[in-house]
Amino acid sequence: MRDDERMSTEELHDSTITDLLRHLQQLRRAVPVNYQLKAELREKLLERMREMELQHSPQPPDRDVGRRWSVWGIYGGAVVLILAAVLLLVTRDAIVVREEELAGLRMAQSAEQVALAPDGEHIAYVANGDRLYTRPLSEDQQESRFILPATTGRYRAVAWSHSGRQLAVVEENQQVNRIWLVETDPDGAVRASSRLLKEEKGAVYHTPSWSPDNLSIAYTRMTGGKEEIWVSSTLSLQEKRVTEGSQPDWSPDGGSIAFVKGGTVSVLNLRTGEVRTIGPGTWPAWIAPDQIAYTTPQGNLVVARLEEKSVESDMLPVPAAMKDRIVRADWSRDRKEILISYQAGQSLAFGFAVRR
Amino acid sequence: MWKWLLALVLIVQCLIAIPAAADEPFDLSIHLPLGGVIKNNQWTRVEVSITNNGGERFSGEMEFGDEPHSGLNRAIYRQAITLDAGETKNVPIDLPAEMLMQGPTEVRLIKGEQVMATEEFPPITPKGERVVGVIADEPSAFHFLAIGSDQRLDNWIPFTVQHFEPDALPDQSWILKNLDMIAIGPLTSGKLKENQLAALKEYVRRGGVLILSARPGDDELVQQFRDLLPVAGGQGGMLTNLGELERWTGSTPLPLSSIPVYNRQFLLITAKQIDGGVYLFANYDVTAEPMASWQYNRQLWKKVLTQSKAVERMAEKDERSPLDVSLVSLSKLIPGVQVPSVGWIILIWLVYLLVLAPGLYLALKRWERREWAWGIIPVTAILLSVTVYLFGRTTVAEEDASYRVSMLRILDKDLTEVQTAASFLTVSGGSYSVRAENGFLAVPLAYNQVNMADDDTMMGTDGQGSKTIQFRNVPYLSIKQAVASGILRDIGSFDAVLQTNGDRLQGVIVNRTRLPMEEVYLNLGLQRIALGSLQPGEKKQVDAKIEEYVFPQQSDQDSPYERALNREQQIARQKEWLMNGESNQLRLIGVSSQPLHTLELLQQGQKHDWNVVVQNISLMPDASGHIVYPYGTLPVQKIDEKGIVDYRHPNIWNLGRGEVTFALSVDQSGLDVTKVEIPLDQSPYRPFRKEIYHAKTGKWKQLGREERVILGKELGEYLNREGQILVRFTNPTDQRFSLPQPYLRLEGVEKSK
Repeated sequence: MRDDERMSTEELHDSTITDLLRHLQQLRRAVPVNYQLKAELREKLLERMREMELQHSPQPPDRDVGRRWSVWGIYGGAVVLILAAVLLLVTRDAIVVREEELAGLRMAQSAEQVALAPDGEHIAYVANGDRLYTRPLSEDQQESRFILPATTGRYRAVAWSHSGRQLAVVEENQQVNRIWLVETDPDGAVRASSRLLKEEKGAVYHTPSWSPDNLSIAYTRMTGGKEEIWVSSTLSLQEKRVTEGSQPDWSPDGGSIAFVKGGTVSVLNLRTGEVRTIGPGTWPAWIAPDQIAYTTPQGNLVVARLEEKSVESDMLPVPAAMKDRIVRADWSRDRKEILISYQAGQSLAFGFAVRR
Repeated sequence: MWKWLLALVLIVQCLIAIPAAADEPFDLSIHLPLGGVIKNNQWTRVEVSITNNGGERFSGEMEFGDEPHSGLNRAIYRQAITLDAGETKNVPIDLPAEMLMQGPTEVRLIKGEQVMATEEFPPITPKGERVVGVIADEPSAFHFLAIGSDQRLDNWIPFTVQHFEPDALPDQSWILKNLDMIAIGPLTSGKLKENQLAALKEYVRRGGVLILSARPGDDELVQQFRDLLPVAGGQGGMLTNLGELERWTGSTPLPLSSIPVYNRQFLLITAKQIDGGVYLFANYDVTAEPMASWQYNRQLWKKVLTQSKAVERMAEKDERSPLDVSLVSLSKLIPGVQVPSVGWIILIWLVYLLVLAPGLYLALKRWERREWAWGIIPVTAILLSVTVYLFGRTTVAEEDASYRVSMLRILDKDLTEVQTAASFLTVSGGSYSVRAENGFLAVPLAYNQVNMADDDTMMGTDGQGSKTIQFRNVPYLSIKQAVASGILRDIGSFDAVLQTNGDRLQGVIVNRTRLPMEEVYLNLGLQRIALGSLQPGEKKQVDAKIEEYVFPQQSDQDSPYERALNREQQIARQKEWLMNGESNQLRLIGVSSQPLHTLELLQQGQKHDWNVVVQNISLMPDASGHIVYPYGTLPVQKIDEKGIVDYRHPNIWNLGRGEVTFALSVDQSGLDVTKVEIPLDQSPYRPFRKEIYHAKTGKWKQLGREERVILGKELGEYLNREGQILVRFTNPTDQRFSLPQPYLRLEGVEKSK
């Protein structure tokens, strides 16, 4: 190629490059629009891909939703806690019924025919005047029947020892009245044995009550219409009269006996002989070293706190179904479970409750 | 991975040195004293003779434990031993007989890990019968003492008679206690050595029964026992007054009209209480005919043994096992030491495994440092262990501690039998020694009574001859236990002058022991009278009403091993059980925390002691010689039962359709009994049909439901040949009734001497 031709070629190339560059500049000015479009297209494509993913797999939790739930959860928990605290405060010292009426006890004619075990998990009752049963309060266990000594009379009262190993059972007979001690044999009721604690002609016994150490039994002895409380040793058979009255119950330390005389609950200090009046009522039961629960004449429960020089009494909130109808409250050893006997029409019903 | 682990385990197993049994270089032989007679509740001795036939000195251990194929793996006893070449050593192993009855055992000689020689222990069975050891020239002497071996009608535990050569008689009273009775004579003089005589006398004082039979002229033999009962020599002759024998023969003539006796001033048989035991002096030759074969000989001796309370003493001697569960269990409850519950430790580790470790891992994963878990998690596990140890150690115990629980039986002012169970806790573990009181027997115990083979425990003797127990390689906060028995001669005794006055027990008690008593009780049968504390030298007046206790106090109490009881309740109940002894006795019981040093931990630490002191008391007659034994202080035995009878508490029987017969001992030596009362009118006896045996007619007489038995002049008509009143209770129904043991009250006048 010649120089002048080369030169024009070069000049031609320069113009072409210039034109190309100019065209590129023009294109570049148009590029932002294209990039933007590209970005939009890309975003749309990603979104579409996500939608397709969600359709084929579970959706990942939304962080915002999770956070919302956390907040609600905390808030709800706080509300529940507050409500629980309110309920606890409001229902403090309340008796809550677990079972309004225990089945099969309607035949009982008196409150002392059924007794709550110290562990609060069993009851013992005499049925038909000649049979003794123990029954667990949980439904998955069966009741046990004990063979009592044959009698022409009837068995009328039962009381658990504090160890739960023995039952005091009162036999009422025209000729002679007896108190038997029956072992609650761990090997089965069939092998349980009885021993005669007391036997007397012309006297009627009822409402036996074991001392906390199980070495003595207090009971009501009635002769000639007069009721007295006697205490018999279960080891030496020594016995003594302690006071006039009925329905004895030993204090947790064994130093006092609560009893009823003339429709009034009183407390006898066994060491000093001092008698202290508590209030009108029946069926006293020690629920603390310085507290006695008893049934008012109106059929409700009262807790009397024995201060040094006075007695402070408070009504115990009772279930509505039993209000104004309570005959007796029999307490477990830890004073949390209660067997309540109450009037249900013409007969007695027995309910099981717990105390908060 | 698991294949590698399995291979590793197999390699380790192969590397464990299998002890090789070597023979020949050593000869081992085992010898048991008393011909292998042992009592379950006594200590005994196993004598091991070892001869080193090898040419080198041997220095290793002698071990007494389970045979390898027995399935157990316990070393009951281990001690170091050295033997020169050619030397023979006799090594005594003193241990409770109960430990010999727990399976096939052997004696092993061990050097390092190698068993050099073994010798099987001969199988032994404790005698169910009572064993009478006879030492006499005549081999068949005292054969009539095999009482009741051919009949078990009346619940009498039969006796078996075993003859011993005088040389074979041990010279330790505690070994002799494996015999229920020892009968001596007639015996050529000089056959019993001084140490044997001393052991015999101490055996009697410690509750044994010793019979000595003497011919006229047996002065040397009789005078050797004069400190037990002085019987003057040189007064032999013929005894023609045989009234003692005639009551057995009735109208049948006696086989002889007179008997040659050692001393004409003495009865045919004289019984004397010597501290805890009985000495019976037979004033004639029991081996001589016709008396030796006399048909009523057994009945005569049965009566003598009953009336003299020899039978009671035999039972008392075996009352408590050296491994008494009550003592051992109580000693584990070291005051101030609260062993952590395994449950807490498991809980801490569960929290770590289920919460902390996964939490750490997740945190590391979040921080993208997962590979750090290989280091961090094991390190935190180690840190947790160290923290639990450092923190837990101080809550269990701040320093080393020991607790000795002892039962002391005062036999005389200079003789007290002691039985101790002790527990030792060292906070840091390691090795430490325990030393027994001089003259005491002692053995270590496995804490859980299961496997002692891993315990590095060595018996030894210190320079003063006291037994030592060395516990080695004890893990930290581990409790080790040991038991010991022996005699203390410096305790002293209580002086008690007690009489019954109507329905009251009155008198004075003086504490002449060296132990301050925090509580003292009088156990009058089943009745317990609290007397309060009593310091050494202090006197206390007693004036208490006597009650008719029918039932033992434990009948409605929780067992001390009930799980529902907390620690304090368990301790209280176990102490209560230790203080409740047998009924039918009058006993003083004291409680003291004075240290006794029967088992001493040879390092600093908290040392706690709790001792129960027991002493039998006799009631004194009043000025006119009149004496009253209240209810529950005289022996009563069940001698027969039929039908459905069982019992779950001492002294209480549950009777279904069946009957039980009791023998109430009335005949008391040295006492003319004037009145006996048996309160069968009490309510527990009313549901039963009651009968009393009229010995004169041989018939049973029925008693009324509310009838109390009171016998005065007619008492003799109701006494059987053994001097007992028999009472029978029958329950004709299927209803089960509880029957308490009947009791009697006895009044009498001391026989003029």
